[in-house]
Amino acid sequence: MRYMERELQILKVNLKHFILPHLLLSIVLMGLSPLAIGIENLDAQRTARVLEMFTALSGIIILTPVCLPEQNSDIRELVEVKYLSYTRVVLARILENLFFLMIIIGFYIIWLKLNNCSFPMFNYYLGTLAEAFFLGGMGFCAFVILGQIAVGYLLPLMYYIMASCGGRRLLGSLYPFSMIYGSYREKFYLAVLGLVMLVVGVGYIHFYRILRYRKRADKA
Amino acid sequence: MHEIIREISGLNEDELKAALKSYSADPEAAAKQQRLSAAAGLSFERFMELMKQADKLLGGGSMYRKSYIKYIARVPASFNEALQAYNDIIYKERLTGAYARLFCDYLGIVLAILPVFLAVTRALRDKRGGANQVIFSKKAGSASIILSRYLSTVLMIMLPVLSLAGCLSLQFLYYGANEGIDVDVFAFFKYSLFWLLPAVMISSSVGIFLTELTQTAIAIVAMGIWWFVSMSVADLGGGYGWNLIPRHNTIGNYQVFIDNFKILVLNRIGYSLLAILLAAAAVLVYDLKRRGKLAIYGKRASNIKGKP
Repeated sequence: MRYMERELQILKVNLKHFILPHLLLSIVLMGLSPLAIGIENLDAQRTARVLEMFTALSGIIILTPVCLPEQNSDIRELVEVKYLSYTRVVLARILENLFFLMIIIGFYIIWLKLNNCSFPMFNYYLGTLAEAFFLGGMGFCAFVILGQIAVGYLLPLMYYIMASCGGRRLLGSLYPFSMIYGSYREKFYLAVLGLVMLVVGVGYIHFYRILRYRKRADKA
Repeated sequence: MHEIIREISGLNEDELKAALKSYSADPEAAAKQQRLSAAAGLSFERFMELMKQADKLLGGGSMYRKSYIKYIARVPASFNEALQAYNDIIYKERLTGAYARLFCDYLGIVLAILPVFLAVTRALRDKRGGANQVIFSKKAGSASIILSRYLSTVLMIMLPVLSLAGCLSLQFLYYGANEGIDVDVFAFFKYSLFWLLPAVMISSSVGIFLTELTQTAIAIVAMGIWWFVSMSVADLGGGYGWNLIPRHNTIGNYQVFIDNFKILVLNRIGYSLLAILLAAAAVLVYDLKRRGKLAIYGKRASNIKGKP
């Protein structure tokens, strides 16, 4: 129970101090989307285009900066000396960010439906979430391993640009805009790979920390 | 939407449904079979009005918008028109000009966003490494620190672009020599410097300015939004306007390029000047931070160290 209390506190602090600007940014971008793209009376194909080429980008905004607070060396040093494992903190943050990502994409899909767009809601929701999860997972993994937030944003964005510039044949089963062509198979692969990248990122944080402690202990 | 299609095609609901059902992989054959042509007496002005209504129905920004609608229609070129286009490419553009524009069209997409990552990484490295205070106390002026970083970013982005331009020029030179075409060897370089350099400059300066100002990666978001909007509203066939990413997604189309050349020049010069202004603003911000007059990580530098 005490652990749960700690983790609830982590979620509260994460929401209040770290993730809130990213959530607000995602919400503002979604709200302003009609200025750049049409989102009324769309058929299934056009709706898929909006969801895959625009909405899924919120995955990069929300999932990539999970470890952003630790870019500040003061916070990093403070977190590392805490009794509670940093891996647990990161896991709690990931789950919270994922929860908000699901809510934001869910609301956007309801908005599209209210705008008289005709599309299979549940399928498109899962498909968009899979792509957002993949792009965000890629950003998170790159950020954690390379230690640069800019690289964390760069890799998923380059993947997105490559896909949008006719990379369907090149990306094959990992093509992120497959719903436009009526295929969900790719979404399954994207979701699995997104999960793998999140696990790799968290694993890196966990084992890299242990290795650093051991090195320090050996020196001492 | 049904009313709009009915007015354009002149077909009733049943005929339209039948036409939709028989629509095959060969739209031209299906159109002939079902007599799908514009309704008699439909003027071009009325057609454009109806397309505007269709775009509004879809919430704007659709393929029926004025700037995009020309890509839906196809008009076969006559022999004379095709010959004219060929002669333009071979004699007026000396082959490489037409391909250099397409080269810039594709590279412009990436180069409008890529430099911001480099600029942000460069500026954030100081923060992560805690090197700001050390650099602040050095003798070097703020302008020399920021501008040397800015110029090195721009240079390191442009070097591979120019190398690629050189490789393509060699290929075309070889091809031209074999086919007896007098190619413009410098076309790829000229287009790269004129078309792509301003995009690299603006992306880098937005990155450096916003990162120095906020010490966050907000520049990536700002540039990402600008890039996305520019891509969404871009006219692929040469209506450059003031778009950050001028598109010319075709080989040739020389007349359109010449017709819009003036606005393209203004566009590129405008963005170059804006980039220089932002770089100067970044120098100013950096200088104010060094003097302790601007916030760093939410605190005034003078408060961190104690006022002198």
